[in-house]
Amino acid sequence: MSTSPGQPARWELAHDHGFHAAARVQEIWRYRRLVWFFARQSFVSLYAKTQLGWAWILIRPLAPLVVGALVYGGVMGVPSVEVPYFLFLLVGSIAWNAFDGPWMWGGRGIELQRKLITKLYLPRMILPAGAMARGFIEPLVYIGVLLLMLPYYRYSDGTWYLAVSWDLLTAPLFLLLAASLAFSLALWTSNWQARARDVRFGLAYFLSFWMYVTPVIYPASQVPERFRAFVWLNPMATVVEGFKGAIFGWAFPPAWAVLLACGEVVVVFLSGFWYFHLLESETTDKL
Amino acid sequence: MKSLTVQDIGKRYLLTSATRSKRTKATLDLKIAKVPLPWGMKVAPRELWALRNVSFEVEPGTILGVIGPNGAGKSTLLKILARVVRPTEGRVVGHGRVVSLIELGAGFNVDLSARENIFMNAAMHGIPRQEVVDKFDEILDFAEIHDFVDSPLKHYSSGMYLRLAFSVAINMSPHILLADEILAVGDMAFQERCLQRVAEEGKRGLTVLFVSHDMSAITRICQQAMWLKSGKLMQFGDSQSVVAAYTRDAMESLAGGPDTDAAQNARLLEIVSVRLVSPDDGRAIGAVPVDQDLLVRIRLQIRRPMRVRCLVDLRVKNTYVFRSPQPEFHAYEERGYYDVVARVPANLLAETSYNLDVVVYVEKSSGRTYLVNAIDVLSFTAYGAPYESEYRKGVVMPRVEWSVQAVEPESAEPGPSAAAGERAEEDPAADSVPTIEAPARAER
Repeated sequence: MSTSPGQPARWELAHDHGFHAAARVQEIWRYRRLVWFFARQSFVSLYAKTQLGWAWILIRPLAPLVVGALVYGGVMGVPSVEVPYFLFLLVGSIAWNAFDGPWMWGGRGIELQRKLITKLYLPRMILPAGAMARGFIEPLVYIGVLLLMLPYYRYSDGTWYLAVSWDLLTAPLFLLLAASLAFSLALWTSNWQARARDVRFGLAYFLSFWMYVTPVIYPASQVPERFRAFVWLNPMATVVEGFKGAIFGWAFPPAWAVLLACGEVVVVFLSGFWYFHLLESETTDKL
Repeated sequence: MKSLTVQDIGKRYLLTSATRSKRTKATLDLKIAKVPLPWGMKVAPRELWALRNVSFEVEPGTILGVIGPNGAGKSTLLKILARVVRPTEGRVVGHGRVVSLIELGAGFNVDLSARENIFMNAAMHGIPRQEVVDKFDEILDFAEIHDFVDSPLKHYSSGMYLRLAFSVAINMSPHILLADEILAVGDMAFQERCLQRVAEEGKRGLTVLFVSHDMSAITRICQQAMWLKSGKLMQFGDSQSVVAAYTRDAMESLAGGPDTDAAQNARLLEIVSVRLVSPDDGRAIGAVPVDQDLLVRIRLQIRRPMRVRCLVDLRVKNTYVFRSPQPEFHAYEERGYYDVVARVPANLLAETSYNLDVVVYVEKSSGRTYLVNAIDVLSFTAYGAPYESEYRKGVVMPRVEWSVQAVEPESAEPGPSAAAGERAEEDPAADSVPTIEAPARAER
């Protein structure tokens, strides 16, 4: 639909209108401001009707971190290479939560706006993208905690632990990879999450399983040598280990693992884009 | 160049057991149906064609009325054109920007200010920010809300809300505007302004599809009309004749029901029309603000002296809101036309669509009684200020007054548990009285 005052643009609707990826991308670009609107809306309403209000933003991510450090690091004595276990878990959690939260929230994008999309057309891919923003709260809180803890360890242990080198600049790239994977998977799941609520509960279960096979609460070096190669098939293992490597100055995952992870994200994204397109128009019939 | 060309459009819904259960609440059936079937066996889903073989063309600058009883496919047609649902078959070719006002203020967020909502709504229609900046004052001018531009919509009156919604839509310079009942709501002066504006835009080539149950509005506003009935296009043409045909058909189907002797009743009395009328000037209206009395006017043609009692049922889909009978039979001494008016007090209805049934009991001097049914004779929308709607629910929303008062402990009345205990002594069966538990809040 053009905005020119002259001849109005022609459009056509039919059941099967084919898959025009470039046109879809153009359309999404035209509606891009909605991503910010939906993201903001989700922040405003997040803790609107709770007693503790914004305090929840801190409590929710911190509680599992503290409990996890006590149980895994304290009681079970999981090794954490050469840094305190709390710091080890904190850095791993930043990377993991840059994937976990955005996927779970992004997947709910359509479900949360189901009233709107039965009244009004908008490119629905905007919805997972906007809703995803809410999932970034937890990794951001963890990053804040990290910035507070580093001077503390400098004071108590006499070392920063943070390795200041060019490698540190790769840290945000790993987070970006995690978020891209989360968005790609949200494209796969969000239509189903809108149609049946069970999907979300199943996914939460699946994600906790995925976290245990990812070196978040333990270092990848704990995995027996003969299984090590299989670990890198999991793109999140590469992300988490890579992020830890960037922060602490440890060895990165092998280059082939990084390339594989990037390749996996691209494949999941492109197939997710196509699959989303396949399902989206039927979803409004099934809400 | 046509503004809109619709070719053989059809929309099929498959009612699987799950979707069917939502409508009929057949929980038991659902449980039976959910028993897993042997491999390879399937329950064929029931098909429902909400719309089929509908074709028409609209010239730019036309205001086209869409009429028909509930479930005729009017909303489905609008939703297809708005790209909300995809047609199962057929093809639509259109020209230019489509803006939908399918639900009043869909996409408005009552917690945000008018300013923010204007930008958000424009973004939802994919309109560039600069265009909204240019049009911003014009939008406020038309809506007459300059002083409130930064206050959240939840503090708006229903009139302001309505004006804003319309103003945003019309100022997005649509080529095709899809309006569901909206042009029929609001006060007369605002309606006039809307129509004037629509007419101006019509010269520019604006096409309007206007769905309404208000036949007087259709004939007043629209040059052309289309009549849909159970998903089929019955008639398309100039609005006067289409409305006439539709009204005739509706009245014919009203005259009889399975348990009435139509011929007999027709000789006694006829329900000429059932209308919602404005309390101010008696004009027929298609929607009513929740804070205004609802007047249902039943026009009867009495063919011989007799006693008649009317009864009005108000429903939301299949849920009865209430049934209100006329207090007693009214004796009509003379033949002629009579208006029976039922006034439902303001601040009772919720912001939703209602259906109205009318039943007329006729008592002849011989003492025999007859029944004339007019089922689903009217549907209308109640609208109002959507203030803090988060926790409001239900088919009615009366204005409930709440109060809190501090009390001394000694003045406290005996608790319900003590009363229940006494009752239990007298009647052991009282134990089986179910206790009401606090409803569980659904997890989000």
